[in-house]
Amino acid sequence: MTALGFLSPWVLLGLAAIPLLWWLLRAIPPSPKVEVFPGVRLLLGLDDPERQAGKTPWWLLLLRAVMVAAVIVGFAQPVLNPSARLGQAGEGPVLILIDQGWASAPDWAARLGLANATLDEAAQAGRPVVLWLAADAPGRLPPPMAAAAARRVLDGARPQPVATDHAGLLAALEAAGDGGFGQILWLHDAIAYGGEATAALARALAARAPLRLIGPPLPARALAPPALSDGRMVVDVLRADRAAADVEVLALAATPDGPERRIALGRAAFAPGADHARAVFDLPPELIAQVTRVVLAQRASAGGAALADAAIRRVPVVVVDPATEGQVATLTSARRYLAEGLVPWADVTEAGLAGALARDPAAIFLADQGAIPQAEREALTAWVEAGGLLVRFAGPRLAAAIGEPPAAGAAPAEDLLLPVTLRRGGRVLGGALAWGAPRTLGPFDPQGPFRRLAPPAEVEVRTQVLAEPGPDLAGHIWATLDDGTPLVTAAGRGEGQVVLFHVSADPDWSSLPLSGLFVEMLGRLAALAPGQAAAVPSAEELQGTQWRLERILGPQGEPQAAPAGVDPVAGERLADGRAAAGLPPGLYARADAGPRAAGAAESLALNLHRPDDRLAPMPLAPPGAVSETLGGAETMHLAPALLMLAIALAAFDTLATLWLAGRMPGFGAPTGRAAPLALAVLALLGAGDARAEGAAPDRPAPDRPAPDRPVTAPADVSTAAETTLGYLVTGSAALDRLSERAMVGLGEQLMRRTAVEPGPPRGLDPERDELSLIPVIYWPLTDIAQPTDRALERLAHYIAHGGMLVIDTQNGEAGFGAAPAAQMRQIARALNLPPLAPVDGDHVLSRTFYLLNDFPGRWRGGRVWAEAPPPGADAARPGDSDLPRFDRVDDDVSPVVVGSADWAAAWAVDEAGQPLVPVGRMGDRQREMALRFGINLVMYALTGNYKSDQVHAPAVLERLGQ
Amino acid sequence: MAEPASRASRDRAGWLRRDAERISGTLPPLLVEAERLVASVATGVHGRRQSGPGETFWQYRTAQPGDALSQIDWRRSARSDRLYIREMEWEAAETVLLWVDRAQSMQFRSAASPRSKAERAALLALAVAVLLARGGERFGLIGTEAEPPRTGERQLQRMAALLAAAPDPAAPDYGAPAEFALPRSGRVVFFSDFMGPREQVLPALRRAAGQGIGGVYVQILDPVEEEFPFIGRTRFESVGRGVRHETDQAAGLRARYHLRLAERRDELARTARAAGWQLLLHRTDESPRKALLRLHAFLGGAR
Repeated sequence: MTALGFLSPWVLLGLAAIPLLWWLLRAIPPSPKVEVFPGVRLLLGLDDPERQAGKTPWWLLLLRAVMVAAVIVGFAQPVLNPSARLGQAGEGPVLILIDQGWASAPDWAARLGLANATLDEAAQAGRPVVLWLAADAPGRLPPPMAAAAARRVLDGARPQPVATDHAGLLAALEAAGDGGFGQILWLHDAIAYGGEATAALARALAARAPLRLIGPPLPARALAPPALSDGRMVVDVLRADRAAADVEVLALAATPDGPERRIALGRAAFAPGADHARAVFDLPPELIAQVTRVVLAQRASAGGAALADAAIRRVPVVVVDPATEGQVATLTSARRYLAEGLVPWADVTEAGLAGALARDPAAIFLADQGAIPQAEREALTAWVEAGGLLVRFAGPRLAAAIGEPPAAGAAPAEDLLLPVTLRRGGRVLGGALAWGAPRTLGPFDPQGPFRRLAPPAEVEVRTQVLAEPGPDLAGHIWATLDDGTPLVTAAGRGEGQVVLFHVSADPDWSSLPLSGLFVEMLGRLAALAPGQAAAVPSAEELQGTQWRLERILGPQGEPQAAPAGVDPVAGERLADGRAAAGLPPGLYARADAGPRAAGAAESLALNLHRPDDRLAPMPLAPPGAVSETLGGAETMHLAPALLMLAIALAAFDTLATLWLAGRMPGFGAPTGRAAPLALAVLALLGAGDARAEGAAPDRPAPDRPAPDRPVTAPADVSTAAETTLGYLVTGSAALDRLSERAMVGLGEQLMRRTAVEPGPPRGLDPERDELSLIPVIYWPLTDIAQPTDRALERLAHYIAHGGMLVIDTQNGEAGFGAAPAAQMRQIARALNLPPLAPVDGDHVLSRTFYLLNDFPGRWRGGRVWAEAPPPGADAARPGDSDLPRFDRVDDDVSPVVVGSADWAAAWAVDEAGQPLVPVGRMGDRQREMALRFGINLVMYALTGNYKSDQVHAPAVLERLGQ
Repeated sequence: MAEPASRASRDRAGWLRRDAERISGTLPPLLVEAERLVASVATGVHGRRQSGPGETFWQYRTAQPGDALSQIDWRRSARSDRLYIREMEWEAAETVLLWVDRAQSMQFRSAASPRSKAERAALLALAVAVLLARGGERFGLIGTEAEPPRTGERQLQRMAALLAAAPDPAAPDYGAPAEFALPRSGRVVFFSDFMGPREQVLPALRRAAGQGIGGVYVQILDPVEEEFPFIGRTRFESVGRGVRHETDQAAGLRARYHLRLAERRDELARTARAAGWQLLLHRTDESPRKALLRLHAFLGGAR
């Protein structure tokens, strides 16, 4: 079946050029890398040990030859499995009929591929095509068109959520006459629609031209809408095939915030030969009530999904309480307990016994009823046997009626409206005159409807009616007390069930109605009620109503917003309960304003299948027709893959060439045999895969150190290793260079004159760099460089944690007077600066290394400011008033020194150590003084209070001497 | 500048230095580095351990007939009956000429080494010069304007400026010692990689050695030049691009390169031995202190 063809075979002639390429590549070796190496003179005259290595190695040649061959073959447009469905001898248009219904969705892509391949073939043969999409044009045969036009039509086609109307197709075919087709392809669903119509259509097609039937390997499965059975939700899976396979069904529920949520997964196992299987969802009733949709887990389609309808919704129940009939229910009446307990689970109405059946309920909850009148008895019995659920509760009236004949004059017989025969006289426990204590609940029947409920310990039963012991009593018990006497009994009557609570529905006999368990039990019982609410109202009810499509089931069974502009449909058309042509499956909402009957539905779910539908398999192909299975060997164009291979090989060739030249970092030189091995590894990994670089078996170059991977930035490491002077980078190149050279100059002087040996200065970006490693940061604060808020924030953090900032406005004597005051104030506030005071001759800054009186930079004059001494510092040492107080700021180093003398200009030196900027009138003397100030500044920052203590040392010694 | 080295000259070095600072701002960084390097080496004007012209007291001896009257130390003689002559230790300045190869090949620096060979040669030469200046010796830099041997801070500054000058792009690929006027006595130190053609390098060395003076060859090599870590297809070029060699398999040349390097060193060592010189090998990834200590030992100890 596998075949290979070329669309442009003449390009293959280019393969003849490969030997030429081989020769060329062998002649030209790869270019060498260039190394500057003074020892080259010693190498002169040394020959290579093996000349062969200079040529391109054979495996690289092979690689390149394969690359070129891939390009040439790729341009020849090879095609794997060229399509040959159209006979070469055929004449006339080709009819391609595509079943476009719900069942085509699972293999729609395969259908498209096959149809496209056939269209390609028709285009090459120049034959017109009749592309008949069964759902888009059900009623008429489209005209012949060119293959290219047909392809556009095909590109726009999508599977439709309808059942293909084979009968309609047959009629359209008959109406179109012979057609003169050269060949017919039918991409069918392998499902027969409409009984005999499918076979008739196949025969009609086969009669017109050679027919090729192409069907999916496995027909699509369908889902019936979910229904309730014995308190569980059941979903029927329908199939037309007989393959042995389990099917998984997902139940989805709407969430408050929109998208559907998957809440359960059910499995359906087909019995051999069965055409349907049942998936059972054993869910709590409140979850069942939330289910909106069921869908097949695999191969979903519009037919393989079903919207939940009223069949699993809240059932209508009637509460009957003879004790309060015709009165207003009191807060302690059984009627109220029943109605409130049932509201979460069902649509509750209240009625008298006589009127209950008129409400057409699914279940009747009958509180303490004594003897039932004959007429109601008969009606009730008939209703129960037809499938109704009667739940009775004991009480004084029931207890009083025990043992009386069911009807006056009739023989005492089994009461059909009670599940078990009751004993006369109830049992009173824990009363004032009783011996026993109130009983609690025993375990529930693990198979019964209360199987998931846990009996609470606090429920007490004081009074109950008792059942006559009998051999079959145990089979009727759903719940017991802890002594084994029945609490709830049930019995089937025909299609329906009768359930009896042996206690009353009000709290007189027990505390059960007061517990949450009571509500849960009522919910379980409500779920037992048959979904008798008709899923679709009858045609009479729908007469004259209008319905609008709100949500539609998409091709994959997903709910979508209904397309705009869909006309409302008349209610009568919905009465069938099944989607059809023009009536897509989905959710319909009542759209007219007509009168509503009580309890009439406001929305309807329409599905493609009803619970009793069955799928039929495709009939046998008519004689002469060829059958084919979809999804076989498909036509595949190999050109893109080959060209991609060529590109990948080219990439690998580049890497290999670099490696050969020794330019791949971390890889050694080729060593003979390793290279083909690397090629093999690469070929295994998929050529061009970048990870393959690491897989090349190579020794790392031994002479190169392994690359370090520092956690910290390398600049930070060197900064931390040495005392480093920092300056803020302002972004102005001239200013930054001046700052840098100033720090270099100051650093050299520190090295010459003091024990401080600073490393290279570091320019700092306060927004990014780590500031905490720098003891002093010089900040040229000029107009052209205003810091950002983040920079100020980080600088504030820096000076708050021990850093020292030297702010230099560089404008000479003018100082801050010239600086924009508001701006300065803003910066000072952002930096959280302490109050500043002018530095005078007593400040420790003027004493740390040199004794200084003024602090000139490039300019003289102008004040230097530092943190003001704390208020009260004078009073702190009253006894020392006679001592010289050199340092009034005590121990603290000022976090900031502010000046305007442009120190950077005075400190800056060029690479040869020459001053960069002329300084002041006094020249070298002033520069020297500026440098001394710089040294004092650094000393002040580094030694801090130690120096200030030294200033006090003479005074301390003097006092010790005294 | 032919004044005898004396304590006064040591003091003079102090104020010369201050002078120099005042004139030229500060010392070039190279000189600072050289001084830091020298700081670990014991220095001083070295005594000759024999009496002679100098200012350090050596011994008293009784006057012999023929001694000049002015030589008599009257203060000492007055304490006894005999006449004493106060002898000084002989302190003499020696001449050391340095040659630093300024050829292009010296500019080479591999990724593994911190400095280029030229930088290391300049540093070592200047450090030697600083040592010599402290010892009061006279020194000069062959092939430059500082070649006439002098001593003192000014010569040091001049040399530092010459050594710190930017490399000359027009310099030849490989260097050989230039002709120079040797003093009658003294020493010569050659800093080079001695990688040039042997017919250029060796005769120049022999000629220098043949003049009967002592000296040291300091061969400064980059670690790459010693280890030859190259692999693969490579074209080697000299720094000035004047010499090229292309190979397909650089790793295959390694052993023979090492052999040739060893031969070159042997030849250097033989030439040196023949003239009583010494060959010092230095790699740029080694500490310069090691080489300086050996140089110092040679210049200071072997005389």
